[in-house]
Amino acid sequence: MERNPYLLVFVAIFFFAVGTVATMFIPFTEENLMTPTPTAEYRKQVVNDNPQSKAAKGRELYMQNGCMYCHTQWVRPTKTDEKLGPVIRAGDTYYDSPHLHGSNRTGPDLLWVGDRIPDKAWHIKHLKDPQSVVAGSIMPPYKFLSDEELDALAEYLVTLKHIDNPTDQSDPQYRY
Amino acid sequence: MLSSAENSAAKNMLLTSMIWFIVPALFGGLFVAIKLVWPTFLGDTSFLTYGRLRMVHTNGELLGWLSMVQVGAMYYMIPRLLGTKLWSEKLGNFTVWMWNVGLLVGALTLLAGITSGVEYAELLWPLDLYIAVMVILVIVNIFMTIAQRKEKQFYVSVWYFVASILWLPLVYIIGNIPEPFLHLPGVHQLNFNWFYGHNVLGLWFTTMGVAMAYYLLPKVTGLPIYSHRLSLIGFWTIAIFYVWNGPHHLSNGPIPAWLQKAGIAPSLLLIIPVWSVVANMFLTVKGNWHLVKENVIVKFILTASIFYVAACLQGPFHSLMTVSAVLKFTHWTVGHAHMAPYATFSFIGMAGMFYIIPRVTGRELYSWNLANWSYWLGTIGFLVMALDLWTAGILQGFAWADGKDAMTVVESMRPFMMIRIVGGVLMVASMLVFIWNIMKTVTSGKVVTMETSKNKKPVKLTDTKAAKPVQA
Repeated sequence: MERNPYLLVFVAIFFFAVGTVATMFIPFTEENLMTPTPTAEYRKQVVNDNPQSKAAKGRELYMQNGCMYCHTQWVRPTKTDEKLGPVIRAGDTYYDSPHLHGSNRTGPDLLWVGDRIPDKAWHIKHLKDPQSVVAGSIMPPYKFLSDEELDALAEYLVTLKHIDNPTDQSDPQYRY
Repeated sequence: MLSSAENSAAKNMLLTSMIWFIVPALFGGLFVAIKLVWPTFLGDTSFLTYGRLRMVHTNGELLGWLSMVQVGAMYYMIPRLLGTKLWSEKLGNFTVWMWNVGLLVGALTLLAGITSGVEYAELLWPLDLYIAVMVILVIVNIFMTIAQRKEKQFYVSVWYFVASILWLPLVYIIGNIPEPFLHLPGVHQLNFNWFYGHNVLGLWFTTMGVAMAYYLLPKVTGLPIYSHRLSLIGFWTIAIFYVWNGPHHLSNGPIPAWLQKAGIAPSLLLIIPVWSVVANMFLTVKGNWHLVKENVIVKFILTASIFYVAACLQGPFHSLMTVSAVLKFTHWTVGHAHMAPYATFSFIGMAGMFYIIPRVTGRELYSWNLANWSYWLGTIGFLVMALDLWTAGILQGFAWADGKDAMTVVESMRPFMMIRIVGGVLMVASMLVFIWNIMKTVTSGKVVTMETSKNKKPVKLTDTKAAKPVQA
């Protein structure tokens, strides 16, 4: 193999394929990753089914301005997330395109922010001038967004809410 | 327009990579860090907001600086390791143009908020396609160079380079499947996202950087690599285990327990390739530690090795579910995320340029003293930022677990965010000194004979401060 590039390439790609199939494709056989929950159906109804709706436009703005770099939408079954509402289920974001789970929580988690703060006017005021609503906030002001855009973004935020799922068979809400 | 002069592709790639080192670091890194203390810094223009600048930071540093410096080094090293010339300098120079133009367009689209919304893979699909074509052109050039090789035996760097340039397009394409055309149900897309985010580091930046280190260290020290077998163990273990790691980013997430474990167990096994690479580096220099003092390049590479071990011990540690429960989503992750790309592979990148640029321009490095300054400013700056962020992250995680209010935690982070700026300033200063040094080398470094001179005598460039007279 120290002289044969083709063998090297073949073996390297073979091992790559093994890991990829195991961690990326076998999960497609998991039923609960492939079953949308009522929350997902609600999100689909307000965003995916109406690409021209305010909530859909708000979601675009959320992405374009990188909200997900400081706000997660990911409540884990851990002690740190106890106050953030129901633990996320695999099916909750089934239709999200792309996912906005985020990776850093510089600001609060927004998975269920619509349940916590259902007041659109609050969100608009907060987006325009965060410090006027939340003292000590380090969120940048989004004054450059038009009234229409602010309205859309706020509309999206209030649709981020939990819909009860009577058939939820997942583990009870364990905490570390 | 496209030069066919020998070494021109490597030279142009390396020199233009510096633009993508400093600009995203200053605007996307330092300014964004300042915004975490003073959110209205730079006003409230849309393209200067936190979210937009951050996208330029990650894409610019990773797809720009790091990828370019590594491909530039490959254009220089592969022909020398195979006793031949680069197959096509013209094609190489074409990729230099493609890279810079593509990144410029990419940066402008991201600043305008045109994004796919997938972290680390924000560029829109036409740009992804463009990058895929660009990488294929690099592959063609390298494989044609291999086809015309004189040296039949592959040195370990060749293994790493060849495998990396094949892994990159695979990782890139799987990780950038355009969401509008092929919808992956929520959690699967999250899994694909982190497959990309993790493997582009492990099967591209890491393996390219290791290839560079394996080339540079014996060259600048004049010592043979300690163990060829150890280097091959390192290669195959990373080839086998790395690709499994994506799911460990989903620790405690809405995925089945087996998948989390399938991501965590290989993370622990990665200690083998890391250890083998770093042991090989240290055992090569063992007994000649004075080189660390005399030779900035050796100092950069060994420091990078230490940070590489640290990053790869930290990674498996906080991928464990109980540790992740505290540290995930905190500032700790940000400190960790800078360690491999900055303190390991950017250090190897800078070391590579200190070695290669004098050889492709036929000029002595302008100042080894300034190179030493880049080293210390960069190392201290990184340590200030990283130790600060790790401390902040631990406090943040336990404060949440304690049930503290989200805003209380944000406010308590303020002093840490201020110290982070200090680290950032030092890191940017290190980059500025580095770029100044390289620019002065190119424009007014002491001229020595070109490596391509007809008499084929190797250039005796000295890689140390205590420069001996240069032999023509």
